[in-house]
Amino acid sequence: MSDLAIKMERVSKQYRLGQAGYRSLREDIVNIFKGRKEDSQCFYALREVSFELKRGETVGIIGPNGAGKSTILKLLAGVTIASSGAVMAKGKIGALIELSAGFHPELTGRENIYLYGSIIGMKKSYIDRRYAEIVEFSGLEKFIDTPVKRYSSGMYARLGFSVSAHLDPDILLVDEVLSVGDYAFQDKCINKMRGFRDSNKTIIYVSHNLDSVRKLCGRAILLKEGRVAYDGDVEGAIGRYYVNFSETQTGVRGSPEAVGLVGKRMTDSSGKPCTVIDSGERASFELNLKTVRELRGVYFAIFVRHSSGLVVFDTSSYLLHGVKYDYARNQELTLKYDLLINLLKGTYTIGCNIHGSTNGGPPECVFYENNIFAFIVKDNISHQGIANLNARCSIDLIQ
Amino acid sequence: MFEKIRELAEYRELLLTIAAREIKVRYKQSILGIFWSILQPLSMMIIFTIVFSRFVKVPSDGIPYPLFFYTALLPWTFFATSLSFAIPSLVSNSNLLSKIYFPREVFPIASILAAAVDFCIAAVIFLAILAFYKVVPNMNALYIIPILSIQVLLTLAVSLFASAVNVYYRDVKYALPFFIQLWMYLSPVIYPVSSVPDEFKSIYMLNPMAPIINGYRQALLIGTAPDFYHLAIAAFVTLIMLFLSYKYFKMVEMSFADRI
Repeated sequence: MSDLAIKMERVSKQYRLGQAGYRSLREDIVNIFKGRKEDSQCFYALREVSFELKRGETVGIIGPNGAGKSTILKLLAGVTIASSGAVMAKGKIGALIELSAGFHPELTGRENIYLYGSIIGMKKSYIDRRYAEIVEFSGLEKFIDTPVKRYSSGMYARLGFSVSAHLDPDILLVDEVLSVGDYAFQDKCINKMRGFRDSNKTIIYVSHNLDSVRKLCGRAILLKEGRVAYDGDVEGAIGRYYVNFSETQTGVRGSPEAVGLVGKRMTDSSGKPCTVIDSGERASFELNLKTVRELRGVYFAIFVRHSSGLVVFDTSSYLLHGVKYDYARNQELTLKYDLLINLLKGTYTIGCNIHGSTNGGPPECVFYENNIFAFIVKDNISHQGIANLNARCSIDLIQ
Repeated sequence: MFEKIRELAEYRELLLTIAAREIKVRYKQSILGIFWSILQPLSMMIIFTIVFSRFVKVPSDGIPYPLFFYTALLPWTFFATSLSFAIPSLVSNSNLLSKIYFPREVFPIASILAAAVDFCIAAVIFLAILAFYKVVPNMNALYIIPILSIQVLLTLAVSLFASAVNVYYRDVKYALPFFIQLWMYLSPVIYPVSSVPDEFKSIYMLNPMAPIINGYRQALLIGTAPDFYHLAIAAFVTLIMLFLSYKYFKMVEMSFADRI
């Protein structure tokens, strides 16, 4: 058990809703006189969360907002304590926090390096030694004696990450810091993080940027409403994230004023409902819709999105048929798209938007839903990329 | 408790860095910069001297009023600035507090340290005023060391307690300026202790700042030993306050991040 770095055992964290923020004395005094106990409404940020990390492991934590990701980091950093359960973290902990938190806008880049460095736990002598390296990594040599309030937000973030990247802890907690700076700098950051990983540091990486989780982590934990919904390989967690995410939205959202989503169904080529499909198969996507108002000039668009956020396909009934339709109110209809899934292994979502005009007004988007279906594509050949271009390859020797 | 203090000692570098930040930031982009810490008490002294020795005749135990007043104003300003920066310090650093662990008392203590720098600079003016009035303190002046120590501990006690309460009740922030003002009038800053009616004196001197401020005058201007009896009470009260407020601070510290 000696190579265990982090252990969480049935950890719950409870916040009382009534006093999430600060109170004023008056409210409390009023409560005392009314003989009322504090608002007993509770909110669980985490419920019975258990997981372990071995030393040297890099684990991503993903999940929608409010799932409890940041609370886990706070517990590990020792900023707050669990309501119940045990949190164990072995070794020196370093946190790469929201970069701007430790900066002071009035101070120069140089002064902020020292300030931020000592806030995240560096000794002055250590910063002295690594100073040149930090400045070089940031690429801000020219501006280092300028107050950071004159920096652009990208420069700000670069300086911050450059300092924290030179931290030398046993356990590193990373909260959504890589989503800053330009593409080149992000790449630099990912490489730096890989360096951490390869030097056997334990890393917990929280991000909404699923692609960076994929690049960095060997394992991912999906949190949903404060519980661990999945703990295992990264693809599995990401896949589950999308499926979960779209399940919670069935028929609830949509544009209630104009068109409502009543039901949905994804089927494979044999007509059976599915969420996993083999690469190269056909799949059908059916939406049951109901108009709430009278609509004119309507057409239906769908788009297929890869989990990296890239739209891989986007089409509409107008592009396919060249016709727009008119509907009376309370008209029920079924929209069916049949697609050939020439996609490679990964997780994809399908969204839909409907255009038309209500009450003779200008054409507008009357329905928009990003994640109606989520499905996982399986394939047994390990091509890389998104699309299957049915490659053929020949090699001829020239005499 | 000793363990907590030892932990704080490990973070002394951070403490100094944050104190340095407060000082640097305070006068950035101001032309006069650090001279403000001289200018403020100096102009106060001039105004108060005009009001209280020309318009209203406030007794000053035979000491020239500017000297009499500045001797009290200087440590009082240190006390008041410390409180007004230390008490909101946890809330104004909430973004750090909710992200990174370190002993939270770093913030109020750093504010007191920053105020101490202002105090030291303004003390230079005090030496100039002494020279101007040709007052040469005797050996009793050394009593200001224990007196100042009691004052700093008292500042710390009040700051720790009030800054923690401020996290839960922002009322503290609004009450603070009023509270400091009130405390000044209850301490012998603009008037001498001799002006306090005898029947109130025993209660009056229970305010730790009363024997402290009075002690500076006795040690530096009159050249006598301070009022040991009341100073001892002040020291005793201060130590108990410090013990309780530090204990309270440490007790609620872990919930700051949830409540701020």
